[in-house]
Amino acid sequence: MEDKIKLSIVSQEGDRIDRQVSYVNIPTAFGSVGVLSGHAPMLCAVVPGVLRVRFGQEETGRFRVGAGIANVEHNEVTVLVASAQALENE
Amino acid sequence: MANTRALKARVASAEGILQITKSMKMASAAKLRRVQAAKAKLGPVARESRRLLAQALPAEEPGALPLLAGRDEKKRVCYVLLIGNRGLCGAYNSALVKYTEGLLRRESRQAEVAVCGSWGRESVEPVLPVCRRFDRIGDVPTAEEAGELAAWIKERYSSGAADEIVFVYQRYDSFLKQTPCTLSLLPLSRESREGQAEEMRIFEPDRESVLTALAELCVNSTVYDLLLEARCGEHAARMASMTSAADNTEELIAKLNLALNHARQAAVTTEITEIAGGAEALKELKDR
Repeated sequence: MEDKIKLSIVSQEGDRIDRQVSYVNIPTAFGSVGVLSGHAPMLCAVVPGVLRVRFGQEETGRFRVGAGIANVEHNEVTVLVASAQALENE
Repeated sequence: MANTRALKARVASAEGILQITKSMKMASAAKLRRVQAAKAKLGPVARESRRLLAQALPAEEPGALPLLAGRDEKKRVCYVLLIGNRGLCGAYNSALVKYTEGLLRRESRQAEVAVCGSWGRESVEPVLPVCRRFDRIGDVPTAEEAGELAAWIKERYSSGAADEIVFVYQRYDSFLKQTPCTLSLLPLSRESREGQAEEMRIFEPDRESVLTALAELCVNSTVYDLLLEARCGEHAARMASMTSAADNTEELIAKLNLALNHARQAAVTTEITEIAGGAEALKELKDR
């Protein structure tokens, strides 16, 4: 699929998550920011909260993240945070 | 046979020392591996956050952020000394203290020292102006412990109690070589911008909070990285000194065993001579 973005979540504690996703929803101070494929380059301050992703049409995932930064560039989302942890789906 | 008994006691105590040094070496080896693993995992975050900060912040705008803005007058400097938690690691700690003393002698500004590590309270405090101690940083530091230290540093800098924060630690060159060195953490230095000109970028929610978050991340990960590096050196130095201690003890045990055998042989020889002499005397008595 062409409309995929590469997501890497890297935490200071050493956890690393690398996935191909179609949509990322990043928690910021003024609400969440959605990123789809082809997004313009963006730097985004991440606040502690829940980061949501959609892998395909149906499949979704959630990660609890700490404060940090997300960089969107060339269809790649790099999230650098203090901590990251995969959550069970609702 | 007092001599033999004393030698036996010495062999036994040397064997005890050998056991201790060997197990300390094993323990340090295990800790070194864990610290190195943590450092390898942290590496990408530290590098990437520094790269992003360099990219996102134009060089012509130095005052954009408190943590980045250098002050015109640097009157007060705070040295953060990353020392070991324990001794028995060769000259690791004492070399670092000596190096810091040298730094302070050459320092013309008002200087203070924050000590991280529980080694040698009585040998550090008389010679250095210690303003704060962080004693509870573990042998394998965690992100939390690093965060605590980073928070104190940032507070110190932004409140104006210090105009520059400099880390003093043993750089980990290799397993056998650590070199005392300094690294100025705050104000954050801007690394040379990599290649391409700054492209248009969206900042979300705004530029200032993005830069603040970046600087925070950059400081936190650098502090953690340095803590891990210092601990790497400590464990490596302890392993090296325990290895040579164990080798020396083995040599000592061999020497003592040799002396013990000599003494035993001498005792046996004397006994035989005495018995032979006695038998000879009896024979002479009989013959007469």
